[in-house]
Amino acid sequence: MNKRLNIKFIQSFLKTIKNKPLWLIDNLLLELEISEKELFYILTIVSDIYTTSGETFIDYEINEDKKEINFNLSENVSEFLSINDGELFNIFFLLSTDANLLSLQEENKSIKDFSNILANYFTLESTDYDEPLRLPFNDQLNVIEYIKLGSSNSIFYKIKPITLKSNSDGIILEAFDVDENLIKSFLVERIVNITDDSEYLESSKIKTNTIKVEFDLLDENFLNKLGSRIYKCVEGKLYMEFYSYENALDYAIKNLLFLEVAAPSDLLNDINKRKNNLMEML
Amino acid sequence: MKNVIKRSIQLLNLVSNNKTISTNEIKDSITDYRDLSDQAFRRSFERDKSLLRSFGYLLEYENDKWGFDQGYSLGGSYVFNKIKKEAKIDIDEFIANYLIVKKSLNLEIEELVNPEILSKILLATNDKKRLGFTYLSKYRKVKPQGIRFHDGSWYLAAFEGQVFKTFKIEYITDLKVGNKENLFNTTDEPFNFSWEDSKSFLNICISLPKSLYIANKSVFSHKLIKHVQNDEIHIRTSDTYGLVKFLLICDGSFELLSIDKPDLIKEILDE
Repeated sequence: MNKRLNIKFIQSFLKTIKNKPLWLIDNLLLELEISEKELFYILTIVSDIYTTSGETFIDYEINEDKKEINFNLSENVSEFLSINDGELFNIFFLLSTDANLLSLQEENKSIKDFSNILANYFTLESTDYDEPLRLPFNDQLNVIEYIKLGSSNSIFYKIKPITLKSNSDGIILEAFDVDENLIKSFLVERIVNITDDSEYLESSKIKTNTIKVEFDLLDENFLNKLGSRIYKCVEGKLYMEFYSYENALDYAIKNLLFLEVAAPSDLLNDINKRKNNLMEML
Repeated sequence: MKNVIKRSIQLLNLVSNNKTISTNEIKDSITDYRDLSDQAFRRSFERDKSLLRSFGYLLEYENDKWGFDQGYSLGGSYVFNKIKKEAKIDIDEFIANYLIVKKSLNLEIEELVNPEILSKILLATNDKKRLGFTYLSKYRKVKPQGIRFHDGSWYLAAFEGQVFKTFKIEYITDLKVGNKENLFNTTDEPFNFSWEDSKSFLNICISLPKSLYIANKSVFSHKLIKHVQNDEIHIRTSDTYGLVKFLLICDGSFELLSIDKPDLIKEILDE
């Protein structure tokens, strides 16, 4: 099964069939983007649930000749349907920042109204995106120009977007790297361009090696900020591993008030060289 | 997997529509739980609760000693429930529009902010209740005003006493919402960080490839005064430490054209 069949998907399924109980099976599969096998898997789950008053949560009838399915929903389904705050927040954030969704609001008044209703409940400011976030990703392939952390050179990736999420580094696009056959994470703010195939250069990719770094800890309070990051701290020394040299360099520069690189010496020399260069320019 | 999804639906169904339900009622109402020993039930229930939590459905135990209805209720859908109850709209149409927006995204969105913390902040901001939490080892009590997105991170804007502050949501733990409503007013003023009120600005002009500026601009707080076509950028900032980080990261790719207070940067480099 391809689709992630979880409680969130079941909620979406119920929201879809609630207002329109009669469906051509093919249309329903298209709407839900699932296979027939997946649809029947869901139906076996939901039709086996009973409400506290003993009635079936969802009943259905299939007309084999017309290839139709007719749902009969218990009144409890309306009460059960909900959209949680996290989901609404994600949608509201993207409605206010994503270029595609901003134009959708201009074309469709009811979507604009939907956005206005949400605006009454979310007090949200964003100064990072003076221009709307540009994520014109479709479900086909995209070529992105990306600058990795700690690097000043662009790399082109041919990707298929999967998920937008966030972690301590910012908003992350998880996407399938077509050439390397791997799922990778890209920081949205470091995607500097979305291009066509002509600019795509596979040769620009460089294989990276992990690197272990020893830091002198300059401020013990910094440990509170490490969250879920894996590290070892012994007698004022902090030991961390990074997936690339560039990543370690970026981390060391961004935290230079709290940490000082002790080893490897290449990294320490690189930072000192950068400091000297800047000092000379001033 | 099938049984887990089934139990999750049954659990949500039991607590939907603001119902509060006791642990015993939960055990009796769900077939999979009914025949389990108390210990096995506890384990299974905790697992299911934590699975639901990961999807943003918060099964919370109401433990108010003066309350009448003690037991589990469903949290995490504060905004939807409020819209359903208060807004004069067709909730089916609201859901239909939600589905249109979601479908037009073409990609899945996972949580952008911790849903449990977000939900409590929303509840406290809208109902004007106090929030208590631990922030980098120190306990704080604040009057929340809203959320701000900046530098790739989420911040809670709130008054601590009479002082307006911003707290990085990532560092907030043990968040609790007070009981009393309408304790304060919310402000319409922008949620400024302390450095934004600073009077000591530094002006710098550099020549740097646009792509490199875009990729690294969130490293420091600044105002872009002018971006000339030949990659010349004029910046005004009071975040000198952030500017140093930005310049060190872009080493070798920029040319310094002018700066009005170089000593501020030299001081940091000399430390």
